[in-house]
Amino acid sequence: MLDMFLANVFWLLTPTVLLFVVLATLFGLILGALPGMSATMAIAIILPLTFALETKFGIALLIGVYIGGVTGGLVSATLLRIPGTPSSIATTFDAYPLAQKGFAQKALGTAMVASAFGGLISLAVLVTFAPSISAFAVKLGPHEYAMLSLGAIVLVVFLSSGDYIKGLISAILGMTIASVGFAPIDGTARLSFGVIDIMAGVSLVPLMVGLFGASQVISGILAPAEATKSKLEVSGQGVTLSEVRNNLGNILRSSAIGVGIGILPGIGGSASNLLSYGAAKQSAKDPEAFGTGDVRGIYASETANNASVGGALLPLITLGIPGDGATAILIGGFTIHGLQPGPLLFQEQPDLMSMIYAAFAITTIALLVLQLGTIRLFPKVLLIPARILNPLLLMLMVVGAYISDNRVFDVWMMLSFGVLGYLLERFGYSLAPLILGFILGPIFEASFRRAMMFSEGNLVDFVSRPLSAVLLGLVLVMLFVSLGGIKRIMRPRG
Amino acid sequence: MTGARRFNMADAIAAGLFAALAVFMLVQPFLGREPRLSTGDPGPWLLPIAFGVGLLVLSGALMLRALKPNPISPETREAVERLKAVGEDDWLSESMAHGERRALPRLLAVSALCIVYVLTFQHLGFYLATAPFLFLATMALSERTARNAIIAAIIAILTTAVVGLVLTTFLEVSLPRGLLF
Repeated sequence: MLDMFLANVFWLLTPTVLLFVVLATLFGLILGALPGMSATMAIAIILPLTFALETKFGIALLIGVYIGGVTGGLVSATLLRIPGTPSSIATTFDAYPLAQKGFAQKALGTAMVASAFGGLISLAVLVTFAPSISAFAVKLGPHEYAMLSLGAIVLVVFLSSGDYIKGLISAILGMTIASVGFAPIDGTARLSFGVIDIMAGVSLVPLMVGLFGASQVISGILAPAEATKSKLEVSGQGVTLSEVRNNLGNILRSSAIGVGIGILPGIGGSASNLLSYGAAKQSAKDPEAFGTGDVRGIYASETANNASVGGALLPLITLGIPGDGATAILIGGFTIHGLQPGPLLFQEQPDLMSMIYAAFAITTIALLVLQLGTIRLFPKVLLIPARILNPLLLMLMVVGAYISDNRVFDVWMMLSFGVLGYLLERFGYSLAPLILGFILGPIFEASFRRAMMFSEGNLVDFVSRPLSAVLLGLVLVMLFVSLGGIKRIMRPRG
Repeated sequence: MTGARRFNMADAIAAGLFAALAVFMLVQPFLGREPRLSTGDPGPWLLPIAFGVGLLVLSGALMLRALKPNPISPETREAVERLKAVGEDDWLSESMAHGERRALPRLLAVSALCIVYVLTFQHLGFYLATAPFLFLATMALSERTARNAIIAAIIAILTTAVVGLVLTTFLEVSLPRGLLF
């Protein structure tokens, strides 16, 4: 494994490859930095552009965009107090006050160094634990897989959606969209009205680009937000070695929280930064210093959100189960590139597996160099006017949807999903359950049918197999709690 | 926040639409054949039916909540307020709606341009379709001044050239070719 990893690292360091990985990372970084755009949108736009490339090149670019996108949020959080992504909410607490005191360079630099620490530590955790989880996951049967995928969907509804009814509707919509076209196992054409274009099913690219890209362009045009130039001047002292030394414990704790939360579907970086900020504040001797521009708060938040990346990749690589929109597109992208995430990945495609690690490591380091090198220049990205950016992104989305399958039909699909995504978000339906339903619905269905055939129609096996029973229990508890919420609201008067 | 919550029109309409989709899904299985591969196989229609039933129940709950939102007990009131805070804030949504109405003509213009772009994309080829789209869409979102027009034109031409070149040369993507390019 180590020799493959090193070979991939050297391959990634060849000038042309490195240039494209850096460009992809930069693209993720820019979209992550811009409020309203996201890492998910960046991966969705880049994905179709990588189709013609060699598998490992495509995977490297996707990992680059993903990590760039997650990291980018720190810039607007620090300078404008607007988190570019939810992963950087806690960064605004201390980085913004610090920047306001005239230490913008220190605030940004700290956030960048913390991101790199978080990323690399979570990579180490990923490399250490992935083989044993994979070895365990190989033993899972169709019953367990069915329950695991169902559990992930329900958990996402439970954790990411404030409104369970709308969250569950969103998840069912996702599974329904996935069930359009040929059914798994027997190939019956479902919900397709005999139209050949629809029979092939809804492809990942038009759906994701539409839901996470085009919908944001619509809301961007309807509610444009532009930055002011004065806040983007970066000056003052930079990061000092003693600060890093003093925060090593904080970094390790925040990484542990980041990885741990990152593994759970649905919340990932958006919760881990707040939790580790809270933990850092609680364990401090002078908690009142937090919120006034304390670097400890920046270390906690930014280490944790990047550490969530390693955490989120763990179930993705070992089980084939994504935890949020970004990893759902990644898994779809990996599959299109011929890499099948799941327990067999280690045995069957160790080369591609090590490429994920290598790309993760190289991107994290390249990102740090890139960010520190452009610390005064990069924030100007926030000045790109929406009136120029939105048409450009829309063009990239149209081209991406077209080249994913060379069909104009996919472009229309993408635009329709854009409108749907906008309307759903506008009226309070979270998109994460939808996309998890779309990716995991077919896995659930195929596993469920295999399990039923295996047990000759006997449902008792779902309860008699211990792991399946535990997972089913968790699903039922979560459903009970969320439906209990419904019951409370519908309780009759008096 | 005191007094009755307003009838939630958006949720009621959505509930109606979801219920219609659920009914549609529930009817589908009866229009086709149902292959079963072996004993115990539930066949390809079990899940769409399950989704249909689930969606019907949930849209019913959504409709009830939209029609009878007036909370009674304090904890129920709190739950509704919490849901409401997540869903939308009246004041915020009203002010947003005002801004959105003002920006609507721009959105419609960009949408129309995008539709024309997609329709002409294959016939004119990538370069001839993309540059005018970028220029016109940027202008549709900008103040119509000569300076903005020049900037939009330069950006449109440069971006089209760079994106086209990077896609075809480095990423080996085949873009539609028109009569000229």
